[in-house]
Amino acid sequence: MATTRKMRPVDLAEELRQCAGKWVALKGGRVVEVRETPYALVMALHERGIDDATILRAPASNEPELVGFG
Amino acid sequence: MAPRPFPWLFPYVKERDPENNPLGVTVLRPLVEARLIGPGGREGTKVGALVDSGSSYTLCFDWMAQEVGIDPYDGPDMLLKIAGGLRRVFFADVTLRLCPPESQGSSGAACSAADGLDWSTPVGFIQDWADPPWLMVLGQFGFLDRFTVVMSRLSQALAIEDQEHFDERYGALIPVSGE
Repeated sequence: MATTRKMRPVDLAEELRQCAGKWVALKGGRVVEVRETPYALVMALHERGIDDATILRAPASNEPELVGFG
Repeated sequence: MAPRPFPWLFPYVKERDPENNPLGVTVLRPLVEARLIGPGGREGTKVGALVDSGSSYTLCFDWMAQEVGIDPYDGPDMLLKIAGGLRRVFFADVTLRLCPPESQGSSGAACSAADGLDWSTPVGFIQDWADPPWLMVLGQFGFLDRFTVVMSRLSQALAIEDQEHFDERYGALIPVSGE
């Protein structure tokens, strides 16, 4: 039986764990800014002139895993 | 420069390690990067966008509209149950940009008009949600009706193909309706 090839995931687990419960801006898989809210995060990125980061929420450490959003 | 041809292949994103999961499951999300484009081509901040086949609609957090100069509150609205809560959602016709797979890595793809993939669609903007888990959800209407999307947990990857790809691949198996 053929072995299914697996793509290497983008591993954000450790980066997100270190910022649990916060909003993070990532660039090249690394956190470049952290804030309590997405608004504050975007403002901070604008102030620093960072326009190519991607923002995400890091789940809180005790937060149940979310399944079924829609 | 034109966007690269399909397929666009995205690795899943690892959100949590399996250590604290009773089943030993690693939480992997079908997450891509996207941004909202406003009037005059004003670019919104890149966000992690969850591809969610269970969501009927494509949804964004409402400040993303404000960031690019769109007022969604004049459009049609409805109550939706989202992540367990009732939320008022206002719909507006907007442009979305899917960022190329390279933008996830350190290669520095910009997700510009040159390398991203733009399309226009009604998007629902969720009002007054203090702490949403994702800022953008790419659902059935507005995303999965525009592209063919193939997801494999086994391969830990998501492939995005042209809208007609599904019909080209599987169309011969679809019974012809009487209409």
